[in-house]
Amino acid sequence: VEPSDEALCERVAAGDDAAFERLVERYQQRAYRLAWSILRDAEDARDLSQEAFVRLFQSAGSFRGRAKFSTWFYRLVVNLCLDHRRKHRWWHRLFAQEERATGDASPLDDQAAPGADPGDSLGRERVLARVWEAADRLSPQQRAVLVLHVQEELPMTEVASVLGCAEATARVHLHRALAGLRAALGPKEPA
Amino acid sequence: VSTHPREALAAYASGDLGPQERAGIESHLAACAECRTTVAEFRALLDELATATPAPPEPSWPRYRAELRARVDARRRPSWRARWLRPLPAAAMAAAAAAVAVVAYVAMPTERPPELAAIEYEGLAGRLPLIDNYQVVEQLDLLEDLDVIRDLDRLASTREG
Repeated sequence: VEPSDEALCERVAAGDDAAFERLVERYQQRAYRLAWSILRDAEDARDLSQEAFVRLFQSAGSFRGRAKFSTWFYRLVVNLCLDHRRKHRWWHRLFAQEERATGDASPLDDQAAPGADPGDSLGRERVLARVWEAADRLSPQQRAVLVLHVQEELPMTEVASVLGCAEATARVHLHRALAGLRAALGPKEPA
Repeated sequence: VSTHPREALAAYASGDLGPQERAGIESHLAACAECRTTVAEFRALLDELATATPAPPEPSWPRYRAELRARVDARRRPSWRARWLRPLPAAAMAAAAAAVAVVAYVAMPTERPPELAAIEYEGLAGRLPLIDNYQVVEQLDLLEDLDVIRDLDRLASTREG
């Protein structure tokens, strides 16, 4: 029987390197994908997801088992990514300004591909990807809620635990994220 | 129509509300066309987001784990500061305290017997020529010229002679 994440974390706290390796194997893809979804930069995502594992290795003893291991670990990843975004905010602003100055179209200004046939998979992919491109312009917290709730399929109570906020606050982030996307992309035809 | 339950609409659209809250929203929706439109639009957006989840560029996982192992090992080794500042074992502390006590006792100015003091002055007086040759001593490389240091007395007397 495979040991649970929580049991492995307990063994990591006791200095078991093999248990750490096992947790890395289980979570490396999720941690990297989560970091990339928030940062949209492969290099930073690799760096910060690895840093999250290093923190896990160093502070496994502080996991008290009150939450699920995945929630606790996601929190490590998300906090590192949001801190990184806060520290590099000026750089992102500068980069975004430069992009506009060089005439690169902003995803929010993109129109749907003209004549895109809904049956055409490439056209559909392009239209669908716009929604995530637009999500890149949301605040880091709003995007983190979308990533955790929609992509990682965490219920909102768990999203709130990962973000370290009340569930009501997480709901406000979700509402504002969807309202922001609706405003950016225009009214959607209900599916 | 009662106040629009704005913040709950997104959670409702994503199917995240408990039965009681869901029932409350549904009774509001039955009477509010504006909120029904919002919910429909939110659902369409959530569907798109779920279907079009972008995939990150895949890293080389063996390399990823090797880098991670190196980072963990680097943090595992205590820094030089931590090594020097870590608490000394009790025996080492006791030995250090004893050494300090001995040095303090020896260095303490004491009244020495006059005959001992005379011997010391005599010895010092005999070495005075060495002080005259301070320039020679100053230029000696302590490790390379060990032989010269051993024969300093002879060197001093040669120069005198």
